[in-house]
Amino acid sequence: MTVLDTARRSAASATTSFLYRVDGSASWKVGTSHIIVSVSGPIEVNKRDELPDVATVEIVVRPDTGVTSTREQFLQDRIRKVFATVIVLDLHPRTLIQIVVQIVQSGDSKMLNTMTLSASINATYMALLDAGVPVRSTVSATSIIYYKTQADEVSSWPGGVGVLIDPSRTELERIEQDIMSVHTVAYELKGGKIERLVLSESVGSFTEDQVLEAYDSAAKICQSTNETMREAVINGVQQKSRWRET
Amino acid sequence: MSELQPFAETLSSSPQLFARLLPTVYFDRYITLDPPIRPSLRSPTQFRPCRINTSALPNTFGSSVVRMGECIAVCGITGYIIDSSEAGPSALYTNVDVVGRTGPPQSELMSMSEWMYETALAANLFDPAQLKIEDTAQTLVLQAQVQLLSQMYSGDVAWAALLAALAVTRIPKAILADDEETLTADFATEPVIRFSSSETKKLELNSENLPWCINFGVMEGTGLVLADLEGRVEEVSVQGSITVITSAGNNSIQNLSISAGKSLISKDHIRQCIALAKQRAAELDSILQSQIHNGNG
Repeated sequence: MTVLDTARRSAASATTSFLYRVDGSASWKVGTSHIIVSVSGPIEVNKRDELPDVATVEIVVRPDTGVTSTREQFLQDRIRKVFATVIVLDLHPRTLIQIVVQIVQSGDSKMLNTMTLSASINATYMALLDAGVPVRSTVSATSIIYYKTQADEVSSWPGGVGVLIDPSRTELERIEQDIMSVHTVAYELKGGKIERLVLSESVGSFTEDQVLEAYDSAAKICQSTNETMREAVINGVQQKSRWRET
Repeated sequence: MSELQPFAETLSSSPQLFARLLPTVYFDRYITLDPPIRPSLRSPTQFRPCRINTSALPNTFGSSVVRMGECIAVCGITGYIIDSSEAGPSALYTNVDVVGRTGPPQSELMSMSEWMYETALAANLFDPAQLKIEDTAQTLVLQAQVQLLSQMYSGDVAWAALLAALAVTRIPKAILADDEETLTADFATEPVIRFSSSETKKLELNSENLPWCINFGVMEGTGLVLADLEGRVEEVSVQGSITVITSAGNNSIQNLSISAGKSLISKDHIRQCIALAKQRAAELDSILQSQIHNGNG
């Protein structure tokens, strides 16, 4: 039943290795969202935070404007839930893996934080790869929003329901009053294939069938986001290997 | 010979010590029994007993005390007046804190506060137009203060306290003073607003079936679904979690949060949790309603 209009989706782009004082860095741009993540680790940890058998993960989220609020705590918590199992923590006990997520542009409308979360998860993964932190698998995330279409608009779904995938802020503000449900979904992949769902935040008013459908659509999108990541990594490695050509 | 006795005693430590030192092994000992049972002696799909008391706090528009198992949360609802033009997207602000703690709130509580605010905003619990003060350009905004009283706490108990308090909230009638005036945001003057201590109006919620928050765990390996996780042993041993906010009586869901941990969460798990959540929501609705009708609500 899913009619997924991937053509309407904003293209994502990533760059890596542009920050010099950290082990790894990545920038993820999608729609009007732009997130930069830096990763340092494994590095020395405070005795107070030290864990005897696994690495300690510290995640800090900095907002684009204003001061840090409970919103950043919420994002930190969700990002941690994703990466606590993806990073191979027991390879580096008694060390610290420090992840700093700087929101350059959230790309979310005032009441939402879905794009910030999905873009942050993608950017964090790219930065972890760039830093060479051992990870079990690939992670990619996406945002899907269902809204009530106006009478004159063509809807992707029967019953007057429209879909936005990784939208820009303008698109979100346009449909803000008609939002039915917002889904932020992250999948784990191995060898380019979807392995399992790692995180999902669905808010609004939706049925069981709608949300399960959203998960299926998200799986396809995450697979193509994974392809974008692979290309970015290939480009990054080619850049770094330039010296071999001389 | 007598020296061997104390040594033998210390080797056989108490179950509580076992649970603290090796929570996952302790949990495993119970859950691998046939039929599986949890250390709290609940079956996998059994929920905690729930008690709700309402309207116990003075000086509030509404209040509640909710106890689920060992977790206790108290919610008090008050309000403050702002200019309608300064009103934000929400007519309800929530704050969660643990009683007896000093210093800045822990990150887990901050995250919970944010989650409650966003969920309340999306859940559309009541029509904010009820809070407008007639004949003025001002409106009331509700503030919900949730206090967690127990050592163990979780978002679902805090949310339940909020819902129960809102269900009995009464807005006092506004009286416009005829002897005092105040400046408004656009430099006009308006009468000062006072609240009647006797005349109140019930806050009408958008539905009799409230959107309760129900949590589940999904085990790694066996994929067993456990309803209503509580306590450190379960938290550490069962890392996959599914949290559902839904109301009984219809097939819509307001919030679904999944964090897989190391578990493989399938669509069947999700369906099972939603079905159990709907039943629990109906049960909680009836616990609240009977408390309101029989108690002081």
